[in-house]
Amino acid sequence: METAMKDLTVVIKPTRNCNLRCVYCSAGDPKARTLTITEVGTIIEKIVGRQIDSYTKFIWHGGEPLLAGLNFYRQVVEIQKPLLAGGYHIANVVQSNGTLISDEWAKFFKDHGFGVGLSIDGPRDITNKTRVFPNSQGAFEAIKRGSEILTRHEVQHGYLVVISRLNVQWIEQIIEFMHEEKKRYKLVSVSPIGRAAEAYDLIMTEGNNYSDSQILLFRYWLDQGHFTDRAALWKYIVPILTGRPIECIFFENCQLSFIGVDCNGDVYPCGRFCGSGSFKYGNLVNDSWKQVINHPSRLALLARGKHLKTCQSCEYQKICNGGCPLQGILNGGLNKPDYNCRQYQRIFSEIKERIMREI
Amino acid sequence: MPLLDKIKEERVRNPYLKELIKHLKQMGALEVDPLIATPGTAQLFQDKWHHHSDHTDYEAHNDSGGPSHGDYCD
Repeated sequence: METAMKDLTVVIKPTRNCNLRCVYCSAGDPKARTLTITEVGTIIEKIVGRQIDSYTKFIWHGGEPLLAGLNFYRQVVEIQKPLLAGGYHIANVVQSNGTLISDEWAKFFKDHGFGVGLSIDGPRDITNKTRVFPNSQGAFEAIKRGSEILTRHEVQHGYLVVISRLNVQWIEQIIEFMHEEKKRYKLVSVSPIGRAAEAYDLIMTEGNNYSDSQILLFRYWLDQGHFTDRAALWKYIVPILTGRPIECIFFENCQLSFIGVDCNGDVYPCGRFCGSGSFKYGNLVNDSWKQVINHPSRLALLARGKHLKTCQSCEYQKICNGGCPLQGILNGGLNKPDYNCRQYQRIFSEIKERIMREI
Repeated sequence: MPLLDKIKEERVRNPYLKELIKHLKQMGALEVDPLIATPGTAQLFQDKWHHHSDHTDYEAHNDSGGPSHGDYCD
């Protein structure tokens, strides 16, 4: 079985701690530990050194990754320097709530080529319902301040919007807000994992809400050239045109190109799985790279496609591959398609139909 | 055969779709395979696309972001 991982995205959580208490958050844990710089050095060297000429993208995630401190990332860059000089390719991205960004952070990101994603859920009144500080005060102003600092320092950054029951009814206002902001952004569906599972009834979208939001976005783009969520739309449009998926949730084997590393060095299929004991591949502080990638749970995930019998008659099977494995497991097991299956079918169908009318 | 190969660019009426199709075909002509499902090449697709556009950008998200990673949030 193919297990090599020349191109790899690593979703790494230096901490699960966070200074916000977003209502749908899956990962926040105020008591969580932070990876030490010794541990992170060991992890980086094992991951990057897995194969000569490898390409590794680290997505520094959380919790709030900036809580690890600027000195932590300065040392990360120092750890990466000899690897870059040795012919390994490395990129860094931070997915942050943006509230801790200062001129010093922005200058660091600019100097070291870090990409930055900020989480924001739309205009002030909408964001302040979902993304809040522990005292329930909305975080909108603090996020915007972070964005403005990044802009001032010419740090490229985009927005990430979590679509949940709490904001999906205002999808047009969210799209208009993003249009005014001139930021690249993504609309992602909230996942009922970790702490978020406890708020399932409060946060989960119903019926066709998610696909409606993506279809609306597609129409904004196609009909108006609206500055929009092209990255997220590509994951639907490009596969329709080319017959091949370009986003992890639709990959035939996402496990050939993704892993997640938790704040104690534990390794999982991706960031979304972190903390799910039955899918722990090992620990990169203590175990070798080979031990981790040959773990039976990973091999089972790699073989998932063979067991998705319900997908075999689907028109979009080759560009969807049953969707996200985690969302299949949440839908009943490894042999089940993603719980958004019907939503994806609606989106693919709408896009294909419109494209066919335009050609 | 992929739909892309069947489309004659000059017949595409919608300007935004036409732009995307033109770009995808150009990348194919350069023998760059931007669509192979790995983060590195998906990122290449992102980078090249945005090289030809005026948009302020961040990386891909696949999560956090775009095609090269998943639908992540914090």
